[in-house]
This record gives sequence, C-alpha cells and structure tokens, in this order.
Amino acid sequence: MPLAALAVVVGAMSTHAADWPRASVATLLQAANGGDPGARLAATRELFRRGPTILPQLARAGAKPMTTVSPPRGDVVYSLLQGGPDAAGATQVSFGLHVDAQVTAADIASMGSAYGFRAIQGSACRPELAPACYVQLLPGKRLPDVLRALLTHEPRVATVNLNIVER
Amino acid sequence: MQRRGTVAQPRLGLALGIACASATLALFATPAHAQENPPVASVCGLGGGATASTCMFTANAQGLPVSARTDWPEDFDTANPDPLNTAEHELFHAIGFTVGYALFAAHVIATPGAGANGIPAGSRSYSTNGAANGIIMVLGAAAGGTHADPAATGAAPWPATGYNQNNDIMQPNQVVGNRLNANDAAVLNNAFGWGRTGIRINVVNVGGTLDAADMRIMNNAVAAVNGFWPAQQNSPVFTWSVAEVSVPEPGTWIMMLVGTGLTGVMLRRRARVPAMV
Repeated sequence: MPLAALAVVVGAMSTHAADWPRASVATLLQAANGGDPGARLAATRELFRRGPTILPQLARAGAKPMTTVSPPRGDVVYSLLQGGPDAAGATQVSFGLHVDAQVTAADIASMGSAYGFRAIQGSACRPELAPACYVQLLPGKRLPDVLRALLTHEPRVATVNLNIVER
Repeated sequence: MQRRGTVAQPRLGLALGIACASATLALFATPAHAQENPPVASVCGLGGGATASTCMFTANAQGLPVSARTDWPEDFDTANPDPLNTAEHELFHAIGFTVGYALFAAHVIATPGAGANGIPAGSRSYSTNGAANGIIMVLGAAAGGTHADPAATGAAPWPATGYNQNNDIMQPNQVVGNRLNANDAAVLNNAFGWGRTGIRINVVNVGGTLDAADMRIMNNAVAAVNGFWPAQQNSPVFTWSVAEVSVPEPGTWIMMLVGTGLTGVMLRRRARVPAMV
C-alpha cells in the first residue's frame, strides 16, 4: 500500500480511536457496518475487546449470526463472539472476501501471505461482487482465527462470508 | 540388540514405503479414459458418498446470482444413475436455490405449525410474501431450508400448496427420474425475476477429468433452465464453474492414515537409535 494511503488510514483510525471506549454497542455496530475503513476497524476491535458479554446488546442492536454471501461485518463479529462461526453447511477451510473497490488481486495475494490464506485455483477476484473472491486457508490455520485477524487488522476488507455448500 | 535393530528398521521402512506408495497411487489414480487433465481437489468439500456439491456462490450489487462452482466425483456421466437429474439439481442450487443468496433467504419462513401436528420441528417454507398464504414450496429443515421436503404431499397437515413434492427435482433423496418443473421455476422466478430478464449461463470446466460426454449433460441442464427462462440479449450472465474431482474411497483414507501413523512410529524409532548407540 502506498505510504500516503497508509497515512490516511492510520490518521482516520487515530481520529476515531479516542471515542470508541465510551461508545455504545449500537454505535460501535453501526460504525463496524459502515463504509469508513478506519472507523469499522477501530469499532470492530472495541467490540472484540468488550467480549461475549455484549452479545445481548449486539442482538438488540440488530446483529445476528452470519448468513448469506453478504453478511454485515457486525454479524461476523457476533458469530465470532459466540464462539463460531457455526460452519454447519459451509466448508471450514475456505471463505469469501469482501474488499474495497480499489483492491487488486496482488493486494489480496499479499493479504494472504500476512493472514494465512491463498486464492483458490481458477477463481478470479472481482471487487464489485459479493464476495470479491473465495480464498483457501493455508495448512494449520483455523477459520475463526483468520477471520478475526482480518477484521481487526486489515482496513481494506469490508466483511467476510462463509463458503456455503449445497448438496 | 543394536544389530537386530539396524537390520529390522530397513525392512520396516521398506514395508511402510510400499504401503504409503500404494495408498498414494490409489488416491491419485484415474480411469484410463480420463487421463487428459490431472485430477483436482474438491473445493466444495465433496465426500461422504455425495453425488455432487455446489459452493462459492457470488452475487452482484442487485443480489442476483453471478457465479458458483459444482464439484462432481469421478466419473460423473457413467457412475451416476441419472446424471441429468443431478446436474439440474445442482444448477438450480447454483442459480439461486440456497440461503447463500439474500433474495432467496428473505423468503424462507418457519412452516406454520412446525414442531406439532405432524410437521417436523425446524421445517421451513418458501413464501412469496413472508406469510402462510404465500407458501409455494415446503422446505426441509436441513441446511437452513435449501431442499424441497419430500414428505410434503400437498395434503394435511402441510400448508396447502397443492403440490406433492415427493418427486421434486429439489428434494434431497431421489436422484433418478426427476426433472425441473414449473413449481421449481416459480420459486426462483419469484426470488430473482428470471422470468422478466431471462438468464444466460456460461458453463466453464475449471479442471479435473470432465470430458465431452459430461459437458453435454451440463449443457442439457442449462437448456432445461432456459426452457423456463430463455436467454435474451441483455440477460444477466451467470458463470457455472464445474469440476470433476478425485474423491478417495474410505478404504483409501484408512490406508493413508495407517501408513502415516506407521511412518511416524518408524521416525520415532529411528530418532532413538543414536541414543542407544
């Protein structure tokens, strides 16, 4: 990522960071589901920091277990705080990646090196789709760990979805 | 002791080597007629005797299905008792019959009376309007309701769809003889409006050993869909990626696990030898 872009992201995060510890769960959920990369990253971190005790408040604010190919980020957080995601009916070794419009296939490859996944052979990445592409976990990686790391550290990822399987 | 140990280990190693090699050969062996392409691993978790599995669903900004992938076990056209049945079933999942797509999932409701009156707990239905009087298909409980329930006969105690689903293409058990029909089409037409737009389906062979005979069956399944919704000039394009994957038999898995375990034992024994010396 160019240094200028990184500076913008870090700046955005630091602008909002001071407010998050005092924010309500509903406010955090709204920010997590929003389009501001810095705000959604910081809000997601704060939701995870508060831990599973906020699950009832999250539910009251509209979060639910993640489903479909387009789950809001807050639903993914909800599922991870529940101890999931409940991957019944989905594979445990791959997932869908929703990224911002300017993200390239090379960016996704470099994210994979950092977080523990790789592109699925024969699968192209198109940021305008939901998801942009499906990726496969590297050996030894666990789905919940990789999803949580992405949502708390990678500003270019909007949300993720399970790779649902129909038979 | 030391001498016996050094003689016995090469023998053990040879036996283990043969076991591992034979297991590996069994895993990757392909029929003689299908040697053109290398086998590919299943992306959709095919196994456990399943006849096919579909995954990697994507949608566009309007929520319309854009692509999905189906994995078939070898050899799709000859080992399957009715490959067209299976192909139509999986293609229908691919283009919309799944909770993966929000426009479908939004119509899935709990079947009225579920958990009592002979209707199983967890039963779901597809409703055009989210209410009991909009139900046009009763769905099973499994996987969030993505198959027609074959027990829904159109008679009490089921909601009065008037449709016996026992032989529906989207029911999960019977894989011979069923074909897409107007009831199946009504569900996806309601969810996605395919009747208004039509749908253009591109079939892409992404690897494995699918041959021309297999691809003819895929294209026949596409023709069945286009029989309900003909492709028009500006129809949304859907890409159906298909692959024939290598699925090891249970016996092969057991042999591989035993071989791996024995290799581990051998390595542990070998590691101890220098200490004994």
